[in-house]
Amino acid sequence: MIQRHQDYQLSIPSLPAGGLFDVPLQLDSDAPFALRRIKTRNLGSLGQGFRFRTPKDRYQSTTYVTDYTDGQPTTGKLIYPQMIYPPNASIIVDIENNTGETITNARVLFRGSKYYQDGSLPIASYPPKLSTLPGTLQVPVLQIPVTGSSHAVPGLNTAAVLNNILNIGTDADFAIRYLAADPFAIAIDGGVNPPPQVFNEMYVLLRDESKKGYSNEPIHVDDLFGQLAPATTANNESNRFLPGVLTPEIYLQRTQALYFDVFRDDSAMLALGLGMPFPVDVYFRFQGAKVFLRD
Amino acid sequence: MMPVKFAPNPLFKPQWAYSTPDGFHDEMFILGTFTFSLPGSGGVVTQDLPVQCDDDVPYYIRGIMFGGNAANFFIRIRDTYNNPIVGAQPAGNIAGVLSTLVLGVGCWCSQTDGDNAFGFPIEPEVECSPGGSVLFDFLGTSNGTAASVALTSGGTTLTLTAALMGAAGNGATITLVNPAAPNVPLSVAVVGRNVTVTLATDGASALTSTWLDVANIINDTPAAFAVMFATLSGPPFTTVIPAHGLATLAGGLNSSEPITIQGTFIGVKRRPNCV
Repeated sequence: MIQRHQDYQLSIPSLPAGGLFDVPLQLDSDAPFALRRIKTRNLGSLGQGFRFRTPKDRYQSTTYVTDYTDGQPTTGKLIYPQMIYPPNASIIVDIENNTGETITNARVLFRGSKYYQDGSLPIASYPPKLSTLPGTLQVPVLQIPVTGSSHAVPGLNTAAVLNNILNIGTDADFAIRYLAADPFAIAIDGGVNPPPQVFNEMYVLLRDESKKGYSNEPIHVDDLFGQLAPATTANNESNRFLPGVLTPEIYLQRTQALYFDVFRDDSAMLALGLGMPFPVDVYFRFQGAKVFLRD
Repeated sequence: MMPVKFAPNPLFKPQWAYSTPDGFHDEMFILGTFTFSLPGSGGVVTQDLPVQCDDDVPYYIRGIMFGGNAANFFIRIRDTYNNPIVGAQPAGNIAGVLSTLVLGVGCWCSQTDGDNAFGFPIEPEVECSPGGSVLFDFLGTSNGTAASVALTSGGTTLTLTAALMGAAGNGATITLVNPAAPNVPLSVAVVGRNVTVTLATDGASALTSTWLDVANIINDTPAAFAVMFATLSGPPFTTVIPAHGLATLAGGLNSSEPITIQGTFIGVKRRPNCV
């Protein structure tokens, strides 16, 4: 059996007061989906919850649940044991909204893995005899515009920086186990003083060498590449090393590449009190292990 | 998959050995604290800073902690066999060096105030040869101060910050001009390091440009953005901004002290069992 990382995201650009019921999230037809974790955006932070139906079409909880704990964000609600949805199924979701107002861009992220039959995908894996070494490969994506006209992320008008490439290109294969991404620009005395490197709404779509996506739509960078909350400002002392963990890992041979698209819409950042938006340089790090073939 | 057992070999790539191999035992060992001093001016690559391991037995690194006055930086770490375990092998010239350093050590290393120590797992563990040195390369940002000036009215502030870091940013100027004429469009002119914004007016010569309009035209005009950038605080930003006489950006200071980074390795010493 082959496992391949998969994210499915349900985006509701405008969630009316009173909530929505029986919202279907259509799954792909190529493979079953093993659900292992659920995370929300713009719901738990407002005290709102969700519930969904299992593959047996029963509610997974009697009441709405949230992925927040004591009002604080978490890395998501664990689903254990995993739930396996058949190909072409739908996850039926109810989303709460008792705020009395419309909620903008509510998202429920279902994380897990697709199951494929052996031999049905050209998946590489570890050689029979090997050595490993920790590794970090970095792809800078520079000057990501504040906003644009792409509608790839439901509810946003994003700038799109497409087909960024992680080339392994080393003397070893690479097993990607976790991800990190942060905005940064060097300041030099007498030289450049970059404007604030801050973003709020940035999304990423990972794709394999055949351009097959690892998600049904772009996923927020803080959900995919780590961090609890979109705390990407420079002076947040609560940041910890909370990378985005890929389960299962993505194994790339030394001649292979990984593609990813970056989307950003921070046109509302100033109005949200998050500061003046500027184009940002973001450093995407793919971390895991180099895998050396041994004789 | 079974872990590969320990097999010393001078040409090897380090082994994945979670379990202690037969004939050995592991002892927890903290290596450090080691301290690095980097130029505070920013933009300088400091290479080959060593941390030497004890020369008795191999040391297996399983984690690293950074703390102290850690600033934002790019980093590469090479093991005692010169294999990069963070970053990639430098390509020789300076551009090659820069392209192979990575941001932070797996996390956002944002602080300069000494509060935010952070750790990073080294997984799989890395073997260091007895007496060998782990090498660090850094590229830090400036810890100087940028010149700026704030124009405030009615609870809203337009802050202009120099596009040059440190003392070089001092002396740039900003002026918001009331044209005192009807139907003048908003415009910006740059002469040297002097930025002049002519505010828009309506048919009655009343000012109509908002705080947001002025910030945007400065940031969106390459000639002006090359001198300074504008930020806003104290919404709403859609009210009319008043004219303002010439204001000079000041307070820019070059770095006065180096950046100090302190770190600690966490791991084990692998000792042969007594016969």
